[in-house]
Amino acid sequence: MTEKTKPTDTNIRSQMRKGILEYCVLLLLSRTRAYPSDIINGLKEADLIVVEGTLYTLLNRLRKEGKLNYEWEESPKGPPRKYYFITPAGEENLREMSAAWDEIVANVNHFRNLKTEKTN
Amino acid sequence: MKKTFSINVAGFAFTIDEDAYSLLNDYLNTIENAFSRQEDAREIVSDIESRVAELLMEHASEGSPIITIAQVEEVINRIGKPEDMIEGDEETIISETSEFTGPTPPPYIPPLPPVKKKLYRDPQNAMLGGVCSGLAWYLNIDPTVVRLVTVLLTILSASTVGLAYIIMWIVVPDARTPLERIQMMGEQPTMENIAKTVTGSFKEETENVTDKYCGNSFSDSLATFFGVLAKALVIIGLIIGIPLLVVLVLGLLGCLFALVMFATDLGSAFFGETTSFWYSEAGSLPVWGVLCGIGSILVVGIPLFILVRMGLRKNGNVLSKGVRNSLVIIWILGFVLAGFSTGRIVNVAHEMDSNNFIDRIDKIEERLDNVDFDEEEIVIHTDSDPVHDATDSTKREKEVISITQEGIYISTDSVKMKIGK
Repeated sequence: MTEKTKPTDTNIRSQMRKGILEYCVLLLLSRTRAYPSDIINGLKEADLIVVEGTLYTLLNRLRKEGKLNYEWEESPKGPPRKYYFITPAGEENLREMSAAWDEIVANVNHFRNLKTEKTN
Repeated sequence: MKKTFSINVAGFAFTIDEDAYSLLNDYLNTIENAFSRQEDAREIVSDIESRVAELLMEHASEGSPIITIAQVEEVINRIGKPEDMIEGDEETIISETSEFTGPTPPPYIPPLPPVKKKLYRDPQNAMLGGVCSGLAWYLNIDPTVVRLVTVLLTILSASTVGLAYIIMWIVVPDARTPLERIQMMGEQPTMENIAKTVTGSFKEETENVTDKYCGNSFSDSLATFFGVLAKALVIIGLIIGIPLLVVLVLGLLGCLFALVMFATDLGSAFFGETTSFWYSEAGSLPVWGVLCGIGSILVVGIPLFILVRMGLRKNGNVLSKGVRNSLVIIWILGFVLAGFSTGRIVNVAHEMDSNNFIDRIDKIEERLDNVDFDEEEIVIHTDSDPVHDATDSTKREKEVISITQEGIYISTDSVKMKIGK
């Protein structure tokens, strides 16, 4: 029954998740090149993705925006895989996003702390 | 026991059982349709396909080598429904049901079970009323075969089958909506199939719409009235015309047969010596019969053909101007031919009638009852008794001797000879 009371909570979480998904993918790819299943595994570990299909549309969009690119690489088993890597434009974008994220976190924390002070 | 298929997904080979296969196939088709509006649809779809392959590969390496529906469902739950994947402003807010930590996500709803096949008329592929093409869908055979069989049976059955066609035309509904079309085709109501029928009927629909909304209601009902009238006329025309045409064709075949019989030695085998017949006036009958048959078939057939073509298509001008004009000319020629040859036949028949010995002899015999030998003509009828014929070994035909004021004649069915004064 708890699920029934959770929708709002769920919506918030999924919207937040959606907002930061792009940032996290870029972060992940700035550390290492990866093919979609690697990315999915990484995101799943962090509870950041619900349905895997979402990632493919996201990767496609980021590539079109020039933030990512891919190249084909032989895989140990099966057909070649697309390995994604971040482009200079993507890194630039990532820096902006990181700055924005820091700002948001700082602002949010400010309010959270404010709230804590008040209730205490 | 289940059928299995060998499939290739993104370069990986799998063995998959039947229902798992249809579920997977529908899923991939649904995704493709969902992304079809996007530019790089093909790429996204093939990426997803290779992910599907990878996940299935994991299963295959773990357990049974054959992929079952449960595994496909699991893969679909992992990758998600198309509506969850598409990026957008509002619609991509992930619904509560697909919450990751919550209860298991709802399974992908498998497509509806195959619809029960129903008999419809198929107006989109109709030659006449769409009965044959509808029947072809129902029986799952080529419509041309059904049409040929129907035409053949119509001729052979003296148009009983033609009548059955008309009844079916009236009774069997035509498939108008996409669902009806799918029921007619007996396909599964998947997104793809519906899309197929919808795009197929789109053109017709728009035509109908412009037809409907460009006129006022009066001209609408007038058009409907004339449409019904035209249909009724066509049906009446078919009821009268088809049997008539069948009779004419049979008559023509009879005349052709007679012509061949008399023109070849075959005739003599059946009817004895025929050359005399052939050179008599009666011998020309089959020739005129054939010409009359051809002419009248054209006279009846051409309007029937035009009736069928024009009365049943919504857009009246199905025939090109050239075809129409030549049909008119051929019709006139047929009319002249039929008229002329009928005239000749009547003429010959009349002459034959006046030469009809039995009739005449009956009359003369009546007159002989009160014989008055002062009459100008005395006829002796000698054919009835074969014993008498035996005396004259050369003649086997009916023989009549007639004595008139002009002279004495001996005549058979075909020749009349003066033998004395």
